[in-house]
Amino acid sequence: MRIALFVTCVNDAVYPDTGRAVVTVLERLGHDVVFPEAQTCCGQMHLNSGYQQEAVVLARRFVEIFSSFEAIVVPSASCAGTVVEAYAHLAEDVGDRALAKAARELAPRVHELTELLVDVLGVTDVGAAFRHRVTYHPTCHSLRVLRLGERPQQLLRAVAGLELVELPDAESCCGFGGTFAIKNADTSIAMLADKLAAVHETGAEVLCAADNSCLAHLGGGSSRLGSGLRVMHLAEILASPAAAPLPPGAGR
Amino acid sequence: MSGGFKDTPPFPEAARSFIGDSQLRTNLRRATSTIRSKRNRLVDELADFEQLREAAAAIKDDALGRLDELLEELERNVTAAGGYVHFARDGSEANRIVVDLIERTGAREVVKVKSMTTAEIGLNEALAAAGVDVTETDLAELIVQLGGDLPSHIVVPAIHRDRSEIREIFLEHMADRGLAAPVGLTAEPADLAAAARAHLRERFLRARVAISGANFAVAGSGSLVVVESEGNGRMCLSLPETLISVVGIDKVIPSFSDLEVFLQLLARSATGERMNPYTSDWRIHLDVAVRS
Repeated sequence: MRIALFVTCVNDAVYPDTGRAVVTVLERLGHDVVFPEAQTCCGQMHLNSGYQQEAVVLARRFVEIFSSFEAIVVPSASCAGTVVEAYAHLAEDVGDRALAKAARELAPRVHELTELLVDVLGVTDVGAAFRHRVTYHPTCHSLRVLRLGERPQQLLRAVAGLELVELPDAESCCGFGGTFAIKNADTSIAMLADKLAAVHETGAEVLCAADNSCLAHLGGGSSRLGSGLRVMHLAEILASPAAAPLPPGAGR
Repeated sequence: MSGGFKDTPPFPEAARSFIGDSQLRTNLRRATSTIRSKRNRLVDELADFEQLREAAAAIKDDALGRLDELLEELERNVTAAGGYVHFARDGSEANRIVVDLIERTGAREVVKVKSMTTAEIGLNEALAAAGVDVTETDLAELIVQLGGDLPSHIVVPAIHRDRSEIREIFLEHMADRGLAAPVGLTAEPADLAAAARAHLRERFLRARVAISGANFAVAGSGSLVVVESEGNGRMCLSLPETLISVVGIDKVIPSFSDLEVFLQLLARSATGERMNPYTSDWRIHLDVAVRS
């Protein structure tokens, strides 16, 4: 299958390894990955902050760039959720019916990475090996917008050598919440502390999730604690080819 | 007595001082994880829970789309049943209407059913300013009132308190407002409930005016509905001579049969119960101040 990668602006600017990992996984499974270079941001930040007009420009741009593809993969539940759930409403709110129609037509072809793998490609074993104790944090948009359910765990359980441990109180938000972390820094950090305490309770060496924005928050907190916890995007685990241990400093 | 929600600082500022309260954080963590796991377990029991949610959202969307029509229908049916309907433009107008209605009865004290709408519009503060003595009768709201506090959660207003704190609040403050807590009160839930029951009972028997909110206002039948756990709401709805219900216009639903959808969802999702213990609906002797 020919799959277009929407890497997301956060990954493009800060975590390019996640984008590379998506390409590695999909190519290993025999698919062609294309990267439309005109892509920018999905507009979530603008939309969530009340800048509808600015967001709709980016929504239009996204729809224009990606409409011709059969499948679009997004290594972020948050950005995928914006495209799938928010675009049509946004377009209606600003009175752009053509865009609303185009966004609705496009939405079923836009997949967060684990949705693409499990639902579209029908794969749970992506041929990865990762000999570490791992816990998975379901981010708010994974849980409540896209409802990824068990897809990430299905993929992780099939990774050779990986020991998946359940995260207590997993449904609680990590406290990032986009601009929430800036506008409500104290509360955000308190939530982060609770989440990291739950992660440490599992004894996991690696914490993974489907959103690098949440992982940036979690990784920032974790590195300041000096706990040695590695924080990685799920895609990077799925891309791990061999039994090689993680190099020092890998992860967030 | 606290100054109500209107006088609270913005959230980031208000949160800062509470973040350092380890007792409060422990209470909240324990209570929310208990409620959440109960909810998840009970939601999983219903195969059609998601369809019910979608149906509820569709009923609400439909009602909000024709509020003008439904509010008039509600008013007609409430009036036909012998009630009176007052429309308020905002919270302060609603408060003025309620104060005026109480003054016309000559009563100087009221009992209240748990109501988030009246907490938001600062009704208790307006009543205090008018010299009316208010007793919150929902157990959690009573804890909040006696502690000079504000509700911290729309479903479980005293979720930030644990039972040893509740015991202290009862021992310290019940006597200021009527029957004192018994000497030797323990922090056992049954003991705390018995103290609240005795304290409230004399208020229920004395009160001539009650104030409630409503979970639903049914346009087609002109009835209001209150969903609760303790039966204290029903005491307020049935014992006093005058009942004043303060209801946001968003609470209107088209018909009585729509309740079937909401009553299957509400307790299961909000408190992790299959059904709430008391569901009261009534059609007569009511005043409604609408539009928060």
